Amino acid sequence: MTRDAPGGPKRPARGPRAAQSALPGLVASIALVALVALVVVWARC
Amino acid sequence: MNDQGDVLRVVEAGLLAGIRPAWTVAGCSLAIGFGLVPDEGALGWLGHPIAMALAVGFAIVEWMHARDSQASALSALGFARSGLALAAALAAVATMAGVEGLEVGALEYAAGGGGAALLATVRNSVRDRLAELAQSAASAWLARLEDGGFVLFATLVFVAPLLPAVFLIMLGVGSTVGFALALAADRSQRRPCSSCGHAARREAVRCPKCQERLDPSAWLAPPPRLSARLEQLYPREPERAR
Repeated sequence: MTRDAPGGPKRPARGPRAAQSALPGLVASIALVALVALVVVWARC
Repeated sequence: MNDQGDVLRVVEAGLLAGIRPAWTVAGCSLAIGFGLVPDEGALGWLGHPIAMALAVGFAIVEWMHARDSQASALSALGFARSGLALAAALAAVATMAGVEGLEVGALEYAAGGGGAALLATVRNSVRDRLAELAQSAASAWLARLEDGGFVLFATLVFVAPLLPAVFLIMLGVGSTVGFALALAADRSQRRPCSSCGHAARREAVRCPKCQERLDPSAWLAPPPRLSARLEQLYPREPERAR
């Protein structure tokens, strides 16, 4: 069994830092809406 | 169902891969293997029993992986997921075209594959945002929501092909608003660096770009009007001489 490092337990590993921008998600969302709307229009006419 | 509905159905089959690529491929593999696809084209090998067993195995691994909050923490994996979704979508478009007996061209493949990659990107971004806010609890619930959504979507593709499209547009509009709000919230948490103008976080003591020392206390202090009002409400008692 390993002992805890001095200075208390290690901070638990976390996911991606908050620095990740919301921009890719925003662009992908807008593009997805446009694409699905286009396909619906295409399928209807 | 007329030809127009068939086109919608074929593209939506591809979009399914944006949520669960391996499930989509397993569905194609089983459909071909059990003879539900009269014209399977180049994908006939997917109906081989070994391919079917492998596809179902991958689907089970994907189902377990979707519940692992740490596994999706790497953005590189998210990127690979979008590529995987695109590849699985192409297989789904081809399989559904075989089911419908429809000739599909580059436009159908592009719409199905591109749509799946976009949906996978939106899904990864939503997941990353949720992981920041609520960590592993959120990803487990998101995984359950996706499982249910996939089954519902796959059923509706056959029953009422317009409904999944309407649902996707609503999802897209909703996430657009959500991401716009997240972007605005992030911008409001940043201030331009006095030296290079880089948008640094309010609590930063050093600019991440030019390494200039920043004074976080000036940014974290309450606005002057609020300070004045606080002073008015809770005046400081003058030091009494003893």
